[in-house]
Amino acid sequence: MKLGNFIRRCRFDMGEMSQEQLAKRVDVTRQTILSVEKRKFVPSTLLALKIARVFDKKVDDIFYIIDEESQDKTYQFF
Amino acid sequence: MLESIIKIVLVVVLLLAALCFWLLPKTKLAKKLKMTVPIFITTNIVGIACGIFGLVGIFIWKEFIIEAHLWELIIFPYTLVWVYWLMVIRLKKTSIIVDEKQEWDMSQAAGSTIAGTLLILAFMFNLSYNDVYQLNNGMWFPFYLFTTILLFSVSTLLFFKKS
Repeated sequence: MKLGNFIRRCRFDMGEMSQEQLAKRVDVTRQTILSVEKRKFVPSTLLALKIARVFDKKVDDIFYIIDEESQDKTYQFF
Repeated sequence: MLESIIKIVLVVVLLLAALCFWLLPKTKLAKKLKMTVPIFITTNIVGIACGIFGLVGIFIWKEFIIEAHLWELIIFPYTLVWVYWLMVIRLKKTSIIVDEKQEWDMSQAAGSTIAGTLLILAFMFNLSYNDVYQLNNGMWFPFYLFTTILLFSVSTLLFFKKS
């Protein structure tokens, strides 16, 4: 199981917010945002909540579980 | 003579570092003391450099590296970088000065370092046991120290850059 996310999409919706800007807002490094976006790092609950708060969304609206069988939602989104 | 000079240099730099540790956070420079990505990377690059120099020194100078206190001199830059980390910790009043991904990278690096160090030391023990190469007169400690610093710094940087 992996943790998918719509961070890229949300950043786009927020007027092309950069990873650096998001990183500053949630007090982490740009590399952390990059890793979360690329699903290489699973964020803590606190970080997930902070990210959701920046985009004024629920955590569920940004993060989702990718089951082995199910298709990745990211590809449906774009 | 060389031993005395090295000892004096070490004591002076250590005292200066201690002075900076206590005084800097109380000055205007305190605002500039923060943990950034370049500092995180620099720490590991310094660690790699110290580890390599130390290990090369052990094999070139052998016991002289201990007798002349050279190994302490080699490890000093790495110590100073960690003094900076301690200053930031003191200033921020929290031990969490790196973000969660960096913390995760360091945890993974610690695990890899334990495994790597065990393998290397087992290999050195084998060489020593079979009289192929001997690490005498307390050389085991600097060897272990530099191996650990090198492996930890390399793996931290690799895990960090992997993202």
